[in-house]
Amino acid sequence: MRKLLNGILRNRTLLLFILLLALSLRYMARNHYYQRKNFQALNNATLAPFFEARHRIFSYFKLNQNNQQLIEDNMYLLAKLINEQNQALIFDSIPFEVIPAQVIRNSIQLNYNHITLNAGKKSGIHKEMGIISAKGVVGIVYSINEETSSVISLLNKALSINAKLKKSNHFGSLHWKGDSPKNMILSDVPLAANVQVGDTIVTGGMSAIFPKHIDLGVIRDVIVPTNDNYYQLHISLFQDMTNLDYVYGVMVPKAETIKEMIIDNE
Amino acid sequence: MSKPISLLIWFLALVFAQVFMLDPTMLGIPYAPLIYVLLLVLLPHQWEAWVVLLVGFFVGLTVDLLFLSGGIHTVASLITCFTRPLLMRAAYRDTISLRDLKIENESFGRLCLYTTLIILVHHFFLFTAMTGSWSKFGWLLGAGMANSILTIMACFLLLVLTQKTR
Repeated sequence: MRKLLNGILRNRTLLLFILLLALSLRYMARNHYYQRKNFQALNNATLAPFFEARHRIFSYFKLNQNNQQLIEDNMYLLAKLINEQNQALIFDSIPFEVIPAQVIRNSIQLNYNHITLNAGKKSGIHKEMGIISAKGVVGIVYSINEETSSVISLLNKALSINAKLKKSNHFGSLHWKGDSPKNMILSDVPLAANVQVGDTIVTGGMSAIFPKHIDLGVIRDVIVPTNDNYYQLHISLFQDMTNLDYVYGVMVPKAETIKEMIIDNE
Repeated sequence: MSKPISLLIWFLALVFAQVFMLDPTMLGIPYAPLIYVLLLVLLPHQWEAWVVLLVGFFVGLTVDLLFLSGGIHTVASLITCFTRPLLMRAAYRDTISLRDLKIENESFGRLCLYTTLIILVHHFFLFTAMTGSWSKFGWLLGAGMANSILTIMACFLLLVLTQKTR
């Protein structure tokens, strides 16, 4: 027993190193969705004022750049609005409102990335609200407090979004594999669909989160599996997820009714 | 000022600067210097190895919690602290016993060499942990070197600016 104790004392540095390394590797490997979510909720609540202050300081120095982006966003939205107003089949998409917000934190290096917004309950953001930018879908709100909200980024392996081909209405499931922030995978699109590189992908609208026809990206590569009836489509996102600033929460009218109907149908 | 208090001030200042001023996502640049590594350089060499390990673990964990980086900084800091005696020997190879070593009396060039070694080891393990595999070796090498150079330059600048204070 004494020898054992002596041995432990003699090698205490090595043993402590192994113990701490095991702990930190476990922490790293544990990078799971639910643990991260719990910690992040606490982290956001306590650190939000500091990140908000930091964001204000940086915003001051980026005013010109921000103004430029706002002009571009407004131009894009205006063009889209005019196009929509000139369409005869307006009833095809559900009318919706948008709530503006700014990204104050954005992680891109992990497998399960999240975004923090400077708008919360007070601004009208609610749980499971879809977040878009002028260029496309950004993520879905999963937790909120009065002033801020946390969003599951598109760059989160746990997130999967209903998407469709713009030209043919074939549906699939859009998700991220964890590699480049620009590349996504659209799976479950049947081989019957006429798919070509360069085709546009938009939201499918099969939920109460995103309306139909919100831009997502274009097909970069088409994989035809030998032993499956569905395509594997590699998608390039329109929105650069590493460069987010102004985003909008999408308020779908009668969202609760739609959700209930979806549950009933299922 | 006593050493632990001065280190605590360094710790707060470096972590604050790292998180609130040198966040690559906020700055909109791919890499930003990881100046908190300087803290591992400034730890007193007389401290017991297990104390250094605990401090390294705590520093890495703090940065991970603030950056939401999921443990990669903890792993890199811990391994760097473990290899610290070896790096110290490599940088101050004329000194036989590390206990007799007085960094204050040694040349600034040696301190720079020691800082460089610490940063290279730290960044190697950091970027390896970040990629999680050897399949992205090219990226690991490029990104690791770019960030190492930035960090080395920033740390040298800080060392020069605070030479008298230290």
